[in-house]
Amino acid sequence: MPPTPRQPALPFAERLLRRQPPTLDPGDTVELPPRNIFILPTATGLGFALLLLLLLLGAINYNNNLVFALTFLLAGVGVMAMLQTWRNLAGLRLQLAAAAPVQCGRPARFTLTARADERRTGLVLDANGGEPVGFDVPAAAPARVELAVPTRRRGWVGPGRVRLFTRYPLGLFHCWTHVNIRARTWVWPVPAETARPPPQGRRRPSEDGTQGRGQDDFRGFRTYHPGDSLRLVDWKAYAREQGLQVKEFGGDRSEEYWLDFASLAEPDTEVRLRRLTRWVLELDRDQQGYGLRLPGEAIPLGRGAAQRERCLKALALFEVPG
Amino acid sequence: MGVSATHWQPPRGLLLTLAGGIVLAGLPQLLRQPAVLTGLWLVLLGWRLALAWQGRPPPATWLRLLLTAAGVGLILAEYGAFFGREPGSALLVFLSIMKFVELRRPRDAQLVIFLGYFMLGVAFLFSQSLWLGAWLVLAVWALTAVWVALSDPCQPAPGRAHARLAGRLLLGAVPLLLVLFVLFPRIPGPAVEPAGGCPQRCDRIE
Repeated sequence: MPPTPRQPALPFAERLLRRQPPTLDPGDTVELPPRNIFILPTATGLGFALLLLLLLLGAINYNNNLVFALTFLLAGVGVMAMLQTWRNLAGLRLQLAAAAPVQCGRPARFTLTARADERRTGLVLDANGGEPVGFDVPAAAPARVELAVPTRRRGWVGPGRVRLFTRYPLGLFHCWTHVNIRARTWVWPVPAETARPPPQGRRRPSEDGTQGRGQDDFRGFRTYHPGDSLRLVDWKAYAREQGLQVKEFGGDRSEEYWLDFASLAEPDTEVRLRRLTRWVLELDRDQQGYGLRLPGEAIPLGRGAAQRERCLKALALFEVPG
Repeated sequence: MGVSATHWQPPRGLLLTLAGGIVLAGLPQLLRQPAVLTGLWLVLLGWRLALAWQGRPPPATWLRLLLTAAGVGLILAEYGAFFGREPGSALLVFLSIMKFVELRRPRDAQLVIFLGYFMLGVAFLFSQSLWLGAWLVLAVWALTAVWVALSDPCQPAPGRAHARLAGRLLLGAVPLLLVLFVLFPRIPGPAVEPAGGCPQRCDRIE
């Protein structure tokens, strides 16, 4: 699987040391390698160093042993904090679950599972463009972290390289590492906003030539005629300003729709795809059978969740490289 | 009061433990200085806690400036000078409580903790008794525990885990303390006359 495009450059320290972040594939477990964990003092850390310097000058000036002791104790606390911050990240094990496909505009949710032998506190996961997620990892129990990656257009989406950092326990040091996450999922187009009935369905010819009618099998819609039972009116369609439609039920027959990219009047490809997406979602909701024709690809008639997924994926990845 | 919706409301547990920390750190000076200064200090502390308990923001800048000016004037009136150990230490302890009254960002709490450590250092200029040393260990532990809690993004209310981790950090610091204490060279006699340093340092911190 190729990496997600448009990665920002690695920070200076990592380029300087020629360190490449570890990669994490779906289902894999990766243990954060110590060589890829970086640590630098924060502004608070520099302030603390200034405090130590002032105390040390005071101790030297007054030749005061207890001020010396206090200064060295605090210096030791700073060193311990550096070690502790580093240990917060080192040896953490990450596992990745595959993400479900999602409609464009909604965040794609990738779930990471973090495990550690001893408790980790105050970790933050930061993906490009997404909200940083803070989490703790209890000892010997996995912590699930949901990474919401924003989607802005149809096609593939993935977290790419994410940053994991911590400043716990004292905020004196900023300790971070990068992980290349190679999971991705596809994003289907935003459905067209305006409703329009799909092109006229074709009744599947029955073997004996009769028009079966019954009460069991939902077959489709037809326009309302005076005298039809009000219970059969599709009020949801009426609310969508599609006029009065009556649900028809038949025996073993139902209508089938061919959704054809080439038959649409709109000139723009994306607009056509959004229209087709809306029809796929509506027909699937109404449990109709449908097929999809895109240039270079045809999905035969079908229905149900598998058909929906197949059509949405074709729409999501139409003319998308890789 | 200018800021209302956007101000950071420190969690009550954090505020209370932070108050405990600076009381511990300031206690030597609070017991030594004139009662009127200590009284003012305690009133300011209680006032800030009361504001937080009613969910109200810290006082406006003009009011704090007025109070700071009044407190500094009082110190000047009591000691007749800013320079020297006594008024310098009084000034540091007073300005620390003013920072506590201000407390509107996590960074302010951080600064109060640093001022607390500094107050402890200044306390040793007056006495080097063993009791004070033991007191120092307790106060450093308390301040460090608040600091750990402040840095914990998930649970800002200090708990036993924070105190335990602070204890671990202090214990881990002991070997370095011993090595540096033994090996650090000492210059006999004061390098600069004691009249100097403290007031300027306090100004820089504030």
